[in-house]
Amino acid sequence: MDAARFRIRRAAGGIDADAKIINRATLSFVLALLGFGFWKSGFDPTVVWRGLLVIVREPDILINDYVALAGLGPAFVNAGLLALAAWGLLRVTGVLISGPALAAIFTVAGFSLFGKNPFNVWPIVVGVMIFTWVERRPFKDNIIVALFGTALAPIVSEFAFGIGIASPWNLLAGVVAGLAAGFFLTPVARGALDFTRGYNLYNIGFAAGFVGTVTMSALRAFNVPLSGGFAWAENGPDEILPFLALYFASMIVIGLVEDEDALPNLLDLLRTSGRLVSDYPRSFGIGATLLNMGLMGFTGSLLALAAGCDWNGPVVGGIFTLVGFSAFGKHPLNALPPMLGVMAAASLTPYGLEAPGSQLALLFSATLAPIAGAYGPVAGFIAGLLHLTLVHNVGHLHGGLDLYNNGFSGGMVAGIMVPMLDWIRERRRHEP
Amino acid sequence: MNLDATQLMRCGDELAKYLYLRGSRRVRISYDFGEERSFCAISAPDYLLDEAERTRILKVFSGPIQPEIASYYGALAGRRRDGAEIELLGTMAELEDLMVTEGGGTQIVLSRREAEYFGKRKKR
Repeated sequence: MDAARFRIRRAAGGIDADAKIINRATLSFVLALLGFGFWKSGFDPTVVWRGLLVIVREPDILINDYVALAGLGPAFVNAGLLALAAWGLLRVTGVLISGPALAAIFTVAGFSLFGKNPFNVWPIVVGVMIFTWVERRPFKDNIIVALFGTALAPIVSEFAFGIGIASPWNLLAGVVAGLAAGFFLTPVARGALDFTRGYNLYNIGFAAGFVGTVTMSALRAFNVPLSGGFAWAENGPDEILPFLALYFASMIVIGLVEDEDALPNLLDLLRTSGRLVSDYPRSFGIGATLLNMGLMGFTGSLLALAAGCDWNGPVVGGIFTLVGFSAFGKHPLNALPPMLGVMAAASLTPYGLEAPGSQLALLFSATLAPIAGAYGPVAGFIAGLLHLTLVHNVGHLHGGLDLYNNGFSGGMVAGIMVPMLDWIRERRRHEP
Repeated sequence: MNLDATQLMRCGDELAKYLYLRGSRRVRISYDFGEERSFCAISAPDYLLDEAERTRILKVFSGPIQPEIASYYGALAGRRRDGAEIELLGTMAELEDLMVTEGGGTQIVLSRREAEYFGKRKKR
């Protein structure tokens, strides 16, 4: 690769100045979520409190939309609180908030609209913490795994409120199940990297899929009934889209204002494959990263509009995740091919784009963006086709206990496609 | 074997691959594992890094060590067959020295601080 591509034209203060801007941007995201949530709750703390109680007590396995269960306001307050907790955890452990940390914060916030809440995430985090302690490492070493690992939060809620264990033992069962899931997730996640080789951005979702499958298989073996549940709000874009558009536009403006080289750096960023680890703030500065995040926010929103998606918790969560990972591997050129592949596959199959699973696949299929970035748009498009067909089937394995179902499916697509694409590339290279 | 030693070996492998892909065919790697800090030296006497490559390597290592990235994603270092990914190395180790001399070729020295932080006896 041409070394000239890797020139860095940072804002005057370098990484330290970038870190301050990232911190402010993250805090503004938290405040925007909380502000929007309280506004939509009529600034009534009782409405927020009652909504949060519903969110904590309801089942959380895929797909339970907190906007449908508790309303738009409490769902966004829940997202703001958990984004604040993730940011606080990163600050307390002294972690530099760069690409992966930004992706983690936005992902936690996004999934707090449909599955994560202040009760069910902490046992997973503590489980990872215990593993790290046993491994004799500082907790900050595994903080990214801990934050993404909250994909398994439904295990905690299911054991606590879903399978009929009497009070107060239900809470204990939930906490113990969460601790165990968090503990075993780290080694499984490291192993999963070997399989996907960095071409599935939601790698911990892939690993969590295995932990969820083992848990679900054990429950099924003993005929333990799950609470299940399905909630999906069918809202139009009017209430949420202006808020999102304003936020994404502000990201673009701040990116351009903070770094005069944001645009040329963005052109360099667009040439990357996006394969793990593509830490965009570290490589291209925060200006280009914020610009990319804002652009991807608009791209995701426009695609959701074009596909006629419902503007509810899961869809907005998908857009937040898309934006977060635009600091860590995604950009319009590598994300669009798999997303268009999903749209094509949904149109060609009986699943259709109106199915909730297809709408989520559209937004989360950008987990396979590195395939398009490394092997070209056709490979990315095919990855999207495969992704949709898999994503509608693999959920049964873990029964919805892994919130990152698209990461589970994406891992399988990457694991299958990448060795074949490598073989084709090697064969072409050696052809006379 | 502790994680810090493993990570440093991955860095050595990745840099050796980088030099091989650039054209070097004589690459030597040596390690010095200490109690507090370990070192890795890579030398390619038959290859001179040009200015652009030197700048790239210096920039990769200009950022801080990021153990939260290195301990998890560090497993990807050395995994690619068709290209190097030295950007990841900047999160895993520090650049101690980069020398390019006529006759001596290219020499790169990395170091990594031991981070296991408790226990009377360290794991080996």
